[in-house]
Amino acid sequence: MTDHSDNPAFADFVPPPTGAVFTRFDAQGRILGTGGCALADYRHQLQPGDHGILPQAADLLRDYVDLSGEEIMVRKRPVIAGLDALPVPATVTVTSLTLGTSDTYEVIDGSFDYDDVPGRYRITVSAWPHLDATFEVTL
Amino acid sequence: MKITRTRSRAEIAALREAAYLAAWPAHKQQEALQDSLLRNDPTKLNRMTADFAEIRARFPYPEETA
Repeated sequence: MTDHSDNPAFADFVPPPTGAVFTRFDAQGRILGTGGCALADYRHQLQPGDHGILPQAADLLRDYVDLSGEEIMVRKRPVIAGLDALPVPATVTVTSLTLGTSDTYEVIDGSFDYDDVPGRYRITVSAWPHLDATFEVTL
Repeated sequence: MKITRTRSRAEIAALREAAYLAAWPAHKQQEALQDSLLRNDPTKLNRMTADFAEIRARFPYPEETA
């Protein structure tokens, strides 16, 4: 095989892609699957029940597909910083670590302040597309 | 959103029991009782009684807070 690496005529040569990466997603932007395939097989990767497919790589757990803009794209799932800066709406589950009981609340004002008998509590927040967050508080 | 959770009598009882045993495990309670009864030394028993009173104050029953 001839080595063309010293030939300036080949310096900017990029071979045409023969493979593709893909990300399948549902109607909320949740990633259902990712992978790679031959370019010719790309359109066959869409599964029944999928909302769509993108020619981008993604992390199954840490990314989501943003459907809100004109251009559909993979983005990092935002992080919930604290209980005083929650996304709206958010689902908050409080578990008493002593009793093992749980209560779930729908929070629509962006902050959560909890009062109970003294003890340790685990507070889990989920609000798509944010990453689920867990806080442990001692009252 | 401010949530103030009130606990039932059964839940408070369970919390008290866990706190009693965390502060004074069964063998320590036995030791305090034996010191008091057999050696006439109520020091540990008095301390245990005081700790239990503090736990009851920390976890009052619903009818006590109403």
